[in-house]
Amino acid sequence: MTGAEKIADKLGLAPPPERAIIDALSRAVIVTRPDGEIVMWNRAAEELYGWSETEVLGRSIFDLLVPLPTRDVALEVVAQVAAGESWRGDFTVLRKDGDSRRVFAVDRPVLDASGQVVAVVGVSEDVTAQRLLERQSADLTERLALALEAGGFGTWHWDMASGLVEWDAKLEQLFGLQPGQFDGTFDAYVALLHPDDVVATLETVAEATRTKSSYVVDHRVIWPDGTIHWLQGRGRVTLDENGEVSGTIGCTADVTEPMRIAIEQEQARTRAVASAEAERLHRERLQFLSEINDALSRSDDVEQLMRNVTAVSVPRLGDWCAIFVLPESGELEPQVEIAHADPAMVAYAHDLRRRFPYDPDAPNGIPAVIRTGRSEFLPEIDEPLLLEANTTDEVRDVARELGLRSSISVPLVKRGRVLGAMQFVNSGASRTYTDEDLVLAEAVAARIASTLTNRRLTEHQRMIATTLQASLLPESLPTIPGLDVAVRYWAAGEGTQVGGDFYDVFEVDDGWAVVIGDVCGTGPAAASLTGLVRHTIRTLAWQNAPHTEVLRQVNNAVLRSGRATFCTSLYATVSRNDEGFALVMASGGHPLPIVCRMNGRTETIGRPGTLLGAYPDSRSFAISTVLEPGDTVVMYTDGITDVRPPHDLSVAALEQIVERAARATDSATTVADRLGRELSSILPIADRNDDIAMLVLTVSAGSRSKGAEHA
Amino acid sequence: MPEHLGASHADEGGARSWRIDMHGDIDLRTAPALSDQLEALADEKAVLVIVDLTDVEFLDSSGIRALVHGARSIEDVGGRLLVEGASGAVARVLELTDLLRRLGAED
Repeated sequence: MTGAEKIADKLGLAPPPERAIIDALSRAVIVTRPDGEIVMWNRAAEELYGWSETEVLGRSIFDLLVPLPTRDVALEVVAQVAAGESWRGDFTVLRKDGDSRRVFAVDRPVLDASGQVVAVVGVSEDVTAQRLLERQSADLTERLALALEAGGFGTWHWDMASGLVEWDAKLEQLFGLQPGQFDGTFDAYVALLHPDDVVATLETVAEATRTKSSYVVDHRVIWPDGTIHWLQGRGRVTLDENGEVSGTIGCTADVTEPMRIAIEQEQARTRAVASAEAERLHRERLQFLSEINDALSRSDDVEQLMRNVTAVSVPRLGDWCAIFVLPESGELEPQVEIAHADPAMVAYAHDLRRRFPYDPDAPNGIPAVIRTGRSEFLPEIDEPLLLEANTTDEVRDVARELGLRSSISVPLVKRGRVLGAMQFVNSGASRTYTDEDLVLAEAVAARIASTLTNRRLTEHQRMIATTLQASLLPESLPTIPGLDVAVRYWAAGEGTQVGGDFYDVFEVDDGWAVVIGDVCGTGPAAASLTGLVRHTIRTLAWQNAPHTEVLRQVNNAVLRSGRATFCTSLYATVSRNDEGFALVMASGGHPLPIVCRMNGRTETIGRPGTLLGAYPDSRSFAISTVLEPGDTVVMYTDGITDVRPPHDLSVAALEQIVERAARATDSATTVADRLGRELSSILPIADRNDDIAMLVLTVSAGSRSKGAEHA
Repeated sequence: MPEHLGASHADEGGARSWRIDMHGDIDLRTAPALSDQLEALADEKAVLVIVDLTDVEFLDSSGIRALVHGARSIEDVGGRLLVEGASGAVARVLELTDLLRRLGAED
């Protein structure tokens, strides 16, 4: 009984014929004689190979199915089976319709009682599609392996349900582990991450599982040897049959080098941006300082200066800018100027100043800055700072109301002296101040302090010079009946230096002394020598000393003063006489006076004498002349004539000018004014580098006219 | 010798005679160099120093001071300073101050 018969018997079924069973099999069953002649061909064989059994019985299986290229292999198989062995394997066959098929066949010999092979049973099935898939799969695996290797990728698979993480050897290597060292738990994975990257990495994975999406995460790992490596994981969330997340799968590569380059590039970019920003700030700073300089140079007085610098500072250095300048009088309350983009806010600030009077002893703020000469920098004015500040609730309320955010208060200091302070405030949403702003504010304050100091010094110098000059010149000219006297004095420079020119008119026993002179140099030394000369002349004049003796004594006085300088001087006296006035004079190195007669005749009178203080043996000559009504005498210093060409003036040219100036007038003032205009037309007085002094004497026309010149 | 002064000097008639040719202006700016030079010649015990003013257009009080002090220094060591060639405004200044008589070279 065959197996099939036994089964059928068991099931209580009529035993099917053996042939029917064979035809019911899904696999092709072919029985051949040892030489390959087909003796049986079941239904599945008919379907697989396309030939019906009747078509193939008696034919050679080789001729029928085996294509020529594999004929040798087929013969070997047959030989092997004919020798009594089984054979199994894939084989390529041809169908009746010419299609080639890959089949998996098992060929077994059928032996008779004597052990002779009498037949071969071949069971085969079509594995064409299966083999194709298998090959594709193998190719894919191969290609994946190649790709992973080329990319240096390690792969992992995390199964959420089990909590296990599968890593390949490459991934372990990427984490710095030996093959098999990774224990496969999620915790072990987390422990390998750089502590700073744990949160971000886990969040990325969590986000991906929430959204069931792919993800890329860059993170660092610390290898057991302590080195830090950047890894980039590309993962995908896996879903189970219900669409629920079951884990993640993905691959990871070492990106240390690209990351290093990227980080370096980012750092280089950051540095470039920072350097460009620093450059921009530097330019802005210079620009701002030059605007401050302009504002300073545009200011004629302190009030204007205060207005200009605060106006320029808003909004560049703050929403608010205030300047506080201590008065020179020594009062403790400074003058204040406040600038804000909104005039209403300025008014409000002034209102606040009335509500909160200035307290020089206040523990902080401007009074403290002025007292200590130290800056007060409040980068962040917040509630805790306000509460901590040593001030009143009222002030705190105002600060809150104004939304004060950040402030800088810097002293105006020059040579250790505090002249005031400057305050810059940002409010509301404005930015807060930085250390750079503080540096800039201090630079601005230094410029302003410097300018204030210079202005005040100049003012002081001008005041001292004016005072000193006044002390060296007569306060007023004496009235000389019948003789009109006018004087003009133009100091060179900006009025900050005491000039070297001097003049004097004073009464003596029998008339008046008239002096004009020029001390070499300017400044305090010249001023003191001027004083010496003036007083020496006065003393000797009052002693009625002869003119040449007066100059001789002045020469000795200057020589004895030990100053390596000298002066020139013209000493003259005028006394009334019948004709008008007798003029007697002597020159010590001084330009000689010009006399213009009533009839227009003009000449220089006198004889040169030695300049004073240069030689012990000086000499001078007294000459005299009579001045009649309408006559004019002009005494002058060399600032009129000795100007650098082409503005110089010869004596002859000056004589002509005097002649024109004296024409048809007996007013000394008129003559002096005319001379001043003439000189200005040659070179404006303000442009001259030398002092000019000029004395004009005119004999009133009413005075007796008729006289003679005396030698 | 500072060239910008326009001054030059030449040994004349022996090692201790000097000529200084001045050019342009003798004023606050250029006078100190002239002073230095005259002091240096006094140190060298120059017997004769001639300052040629032919090409000088302008001489102010600092120039006068340089000449007077220089002359005094040279006289102190037994030498003599003379000026020559002055004309126009320069000659007038020297004449007014009596320096032409004292320092003028006899023609």
